[in-house]
Order: sequence, then C-alpha cells, then structure tokens
Amino acid sequence: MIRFLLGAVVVLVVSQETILWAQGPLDKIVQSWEQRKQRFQTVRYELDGTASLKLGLEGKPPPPPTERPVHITLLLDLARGRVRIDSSQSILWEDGDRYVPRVSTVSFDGKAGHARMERDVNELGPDNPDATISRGPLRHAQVDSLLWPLLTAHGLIPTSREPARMDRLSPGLTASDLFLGGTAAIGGGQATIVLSEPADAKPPMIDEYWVALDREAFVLRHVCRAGKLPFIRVDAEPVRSEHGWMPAGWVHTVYSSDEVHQLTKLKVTRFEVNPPVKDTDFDLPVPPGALLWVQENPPAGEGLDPSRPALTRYRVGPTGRWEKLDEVGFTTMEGVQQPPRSSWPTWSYLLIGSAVVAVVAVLVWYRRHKSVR
Amino acid sequence: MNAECPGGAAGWRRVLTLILAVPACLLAYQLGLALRPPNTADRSNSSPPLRLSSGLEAELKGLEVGEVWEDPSYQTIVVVKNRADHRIEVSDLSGSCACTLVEPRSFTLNPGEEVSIRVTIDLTHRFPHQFGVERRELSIDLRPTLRDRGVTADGWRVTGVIRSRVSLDSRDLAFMDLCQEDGPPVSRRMGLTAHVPLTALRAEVPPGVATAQVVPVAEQPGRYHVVVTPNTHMPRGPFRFKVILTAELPDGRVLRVSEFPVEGEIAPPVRVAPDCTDLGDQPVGTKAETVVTVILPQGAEWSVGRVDSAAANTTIKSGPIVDGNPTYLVSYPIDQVGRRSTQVRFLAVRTNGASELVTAQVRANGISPPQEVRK
Repeated sequence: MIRFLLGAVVVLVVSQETILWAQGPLDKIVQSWEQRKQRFQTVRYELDGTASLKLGLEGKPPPPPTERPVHITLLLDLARGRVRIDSSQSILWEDGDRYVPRVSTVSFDGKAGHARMERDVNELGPDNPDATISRGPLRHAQVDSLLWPLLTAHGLIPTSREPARMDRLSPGLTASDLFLGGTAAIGGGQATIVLSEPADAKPPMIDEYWVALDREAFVLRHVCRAGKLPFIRVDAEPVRSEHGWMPAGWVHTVYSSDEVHQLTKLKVTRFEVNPPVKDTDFDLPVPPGALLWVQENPPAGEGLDPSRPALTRYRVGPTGRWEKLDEVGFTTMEGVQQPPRSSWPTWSYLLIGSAVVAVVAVLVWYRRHKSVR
Repeated sequence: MNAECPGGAAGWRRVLTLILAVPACLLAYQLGLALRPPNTADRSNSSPPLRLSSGLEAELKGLEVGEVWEDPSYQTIVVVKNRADHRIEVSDLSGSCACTLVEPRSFTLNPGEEVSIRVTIDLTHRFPHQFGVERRELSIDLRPTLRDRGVTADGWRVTGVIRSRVSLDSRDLAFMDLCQEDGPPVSRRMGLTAHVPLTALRAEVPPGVATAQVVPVAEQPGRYHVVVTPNTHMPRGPFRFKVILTAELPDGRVLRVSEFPVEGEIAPPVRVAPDCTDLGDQPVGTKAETVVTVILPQGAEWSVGRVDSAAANTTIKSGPIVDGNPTYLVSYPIDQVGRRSTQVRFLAVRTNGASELVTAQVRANGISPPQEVRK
C-alpha cells in the first residue's frame, strides 16, 4: 500500500513537472508571476540610493552635485490593491542650473488617488496645489519606473502598453500577451528573454524582460525600447531570502536618444512582510490652509473626454472645512463643456423635493380636515 | 363624507395633484437634461466668428457639418467671400490637423468675390483618448495666411460630431522586430467594437503578405478581434500594409467601415543579446566587461564561425553554451576619461552555406579613479 502511495506521489510529481514543461517557458513564467502575487497580503520597502544626471538642459552640462540622494518608501496592500509611495529626491529646475527638492506622498486608497506636496520644501508656485484627490480611473497616475523591480517581485508586470497605474498596478498578463526572444547569459547565470506586445505609439514601444526561470521568474533586466532605441533599462540584483528570490537593489537607467540621461542606483534597506496597515495610511489627510484640487476623471463609455477631467479647487479652512474656489465640469467627446456636476446625485433632489411637497400637502390637508371637524 | 367636509374629494384631488405635479416636473426636467443629445449645447461661444478681421467671411453651412459618419475622405465645401473693400490674396489656407486637405490652398478675391473651398478630412483620425468611442468631436481650424499680413490670428472652425459604425482600440498594429526571417508565425490582434448591428465583418490584407481573421469575442456582443499574422517568409526588411475592414449591414449594404496600418520588420534569424550594453561610469585603469549571447534559430543548423572586433585592445573569450546559444565575454581597458565603445562582430554560418553577420556594441564612460584619502 505504501509502495503504491509512494508510486502515486512520484507519478504525480513527475506529471506536474511534465505539465509545466509541456506548457512551455511562457506559461511557466506567467504561472510563477501569478504565484508571486499571492505570496503576501501587505509589504513595506525602504529604499536608499543616488541619482546622477548625465545630460543637462539644451546641451548644458548638468549642475553639481553629480550624485543626489534618493529615499523612497513603498507600502503595498496587495490584497486590497492599495498603494502608498513616500519619496524624497530632487529634480532639475526648469532653468537647468540647479536642483529643487521633490518630497511627496502619493497613494491610492482603493477609491481615489491622493497626492501631497509640502509647499515650502518643494518650492511650489502660488497656483500649484498642496494636495490633490483624483477620483475615477487614474489613467495619468503611473507608478514611477524606479519602482518596477518591486512590482515585478510581486508578479505585477508593467508594460509600455499597459503601464502600472496607482489604481491598477498590473494589467494581468497571460502567456498569449508575450513572445519568446531566446535564452541569453546574464550575471553568471542564464535568462529567458520575454517580449511584451508592442505598444502602438510612434515609434512603437516594446518591453524586454530577462527572466531567471530558476529563480521563480525573477526579472533580472527590464528594457523598454522605442523602435530600436532603449529609453528605460532596469538591472536588478536578486537575493535569496526566506520569502523567495527578491530584489536587493537595482540600477535604473533613463536614455535620451541613445545617450544615458539619468542613472539611479537603489538598494533595499528594509523589507517588511505583512506589516499592519490602516486606512489612514492610504487616505491622506489634507492640512488646514492647503490649496486642494479635486479631480474627477470620467469613466469610459459615458461620452466624456478623459483628457479634460472635471476639477474643483478648494482652500482648506483652519477648521479643516473645504471652501470652494472654483470648478470646471466635464467636457464631452464632442467638445461640449458641461456645467459642474453637483456633489449630490439628481435623485436626492427629487426625493427631498417630493418629501417637502408631501409634508406641506399633508399639513394643509390636516389643518383643513381639523377645521372642518 | 362630502356633506361633512365640503372640500373633501376636491381637496384630496388638489393635494394629490400638488404632490404628484412637483416631482413630475422635476423628473421631466431631469429626464430632459439626461436625454439631451450632447451636441445640442450652444457652440457659439467656442466657435470663432465667421467674418475675420481681414474682411474674409465664410458661410456657416460648410463649417457646421452636424453629425457625420466616419469616412476616410469626408468632404465639406466652405464658401469664403471677400467682404472688404480691397483685394485679398490668400497665399496659404491649411487645416490644424494633418488629416485635412484644403483645395485650393491659395486664391485671390476681389471685393465681393467668393471661392468654394473643398475641405477633405480623414475622419478615421483619432486622438488616443478617442479610441473605442462611438461619437466624438470634430473640430478642425482653418487658418488663412495672407500675402500682405502673414498668418492671421483668426480663422474658421469646422465643427460637428463624428459617428463610427466600428471603432478600433488603437491606431495601428506594430510588430516591430518580432517576426524573424523564416521563423515561426507571430500573430497580434486589434480589438474593435461594432456600434451598429452588423451581419458580417471581413478583414482584407494584401495576399502573400499576411493573413487576417475576424474573431468575435466570446460573451461580448459587438466585440471582435482582428488577428493579423504577417508572412515570415517575406524578404528581410520593413513591411507595411493596411487591413481593410468591410461590414455588411442588416439592410444588405456592404461598407468599408474602417482600416488600420500594420508595420514591422522581418528581422534576421540570428541576433545578439544585448546588442548594446552601456556599462555607465567606469574608473580609468579598470576593464569594461560584459557577456553577450548570440541567439541562433532553434535546431543545429547554425553555429558561430568567426568573432572579431575592430578595436585592437578588445578581447573576446568564449563562454558556456546556454540553451544552444554561444556566449562571449567581451572586455576592453578603460584607459582614458570620456566615452569609449567597442563593437564586436559575430559571423553565424548555416550548414547550407548561408551566413549572418551580427554585431554587439559595448559602451562605457571613463572617469577619474577615486582619490586616496590622505591623512
């Protein structure tokens, strides 16, 4: 009996392997990525590194310092599709002569996107908002490609065709969305080169993933090409941990016309598995005095132009009350500007109106009825 | 009851009428708002005036085209009249979109004279956010350049609403270099939505270049995929063709409802990965090193016959064979500050005598070595 059971187990294991191999490398890779998605409920990463700009504006050399610090914290609620990114870095100012700090927090709480930027630290202009809340589909809110290795480590594979968005981290790839590009050597091992479906842009864009099949489909290299030229390349260093093969650090290169434009090196300094999270981690409070923009992105299929969202601007009072400054409604796909929509749904007016009329009518009837009696 | 309460039944009726009338009015108003066609708003605020400061005036008829079906060569005639008391020479009249053709582009009008301008618009042109929608805005500016004043600040606007019988999910279908010469077939699909009932939908491609098949999407009425498979036995190099979509309507009419371009390249069967490696900053005195793989077509027919580099100081060492593909360690010394690169050539040969020359580039930026800290 035991022999029979052992035999059955061996047959089962062999047949599972056979099924995996019979599926081909693309199926195996997609399956491994799906398994990575299920591994944790929540994760928190802290990253430290440096960014160095290689090209300045209009042919000018980039201003010093050659290396600027970068610090990023990523909190992912994989189970509920929530995300929060706190980042502290610097960007080249529009005159090209100096860097300005960019210290910000962006999040998606499962319903809306939030962004907060401290005015003084970030040298914001008077019209720039301190806080924004974006509702509806967040087509514009893409996750920075600096964080791709963390997303791919959890099976969330961004593509140029369907980039990782705050409200939809992964398009959910299947093997039929990918193409096999061969096997190549990398870092003392080997990788299977996988290509995405091209994104229909001018020039078309394609993603090339160098996947380590023997390391749970870890993405060692991710190159985005526009035509023949790369525009982003990420080389990740895997480390074997108790949680499987995870990224220890990576080099993120941005190209401009085949020249290296910016190089960012990041290391994972802290990795927490299943940290407790609360709603306020993702639904960010708006401080008093803030200029707040609330943007409503129209859903698809309603005939509204997604490139022209409805926008209401508020000043947050000392008590935290939002005082409306102005508002702009949606624009239809036919180009017609619509009046701003009320925050109350139409049926609520009908209901209130009807209720008031009904109460008045009943009162009138009651008084008459009483006076007659 | 009526005897006791003189206003009884009539009063109730009044009360009920009041109760029902107000919400009925509100409902009617809201229904009217909701059902109002989106293009019935007053457009006069957004449309430029018909009469320009130069004295040229266009008739409204050709500018407001109303609701039109998507057509790759839609035409409207705009009549332009000279209302000024002097001769006006228009040296160029062009549309704000590359999808517009204006004829004639130049003309001269004496006072009181008029000219009919034929404006041909490719209504299949869409902005990225307009893919997949049934109705969308048509808004194209026509701006005249006057011989004596240059481009005028004002112009006219052709406005309307474009309706589509079929809308595509994207502008075109790119294969880039996914198709390899004599390699396995590569298919990509274009999604489309039919906004009107169709009895048949066909896709046509140039014979011998590719095949195209229309596949209805399961459980999504009106959704289709057009699966396009280029012929990988075509000669090497770029290819470009159009997929023409023809639909049969329930009334028996057969119409060309849409088209989309397909672009790509039949790539050589042998390639190098990565074909370009940028090693970034490397201190002078060190070596730039990288591993490249020559990816050969599956099967034992191919091998790498010769490997060399134009740069004398570049060394190339054979590495292990990875899944049938030879690998090489390419290195060269960083002997000066600044950008350096080397190119390595691999000659792959086939048992039938055919050969392929492929190259890999390795780049690095030489920087001064870090200074030792003196105590």
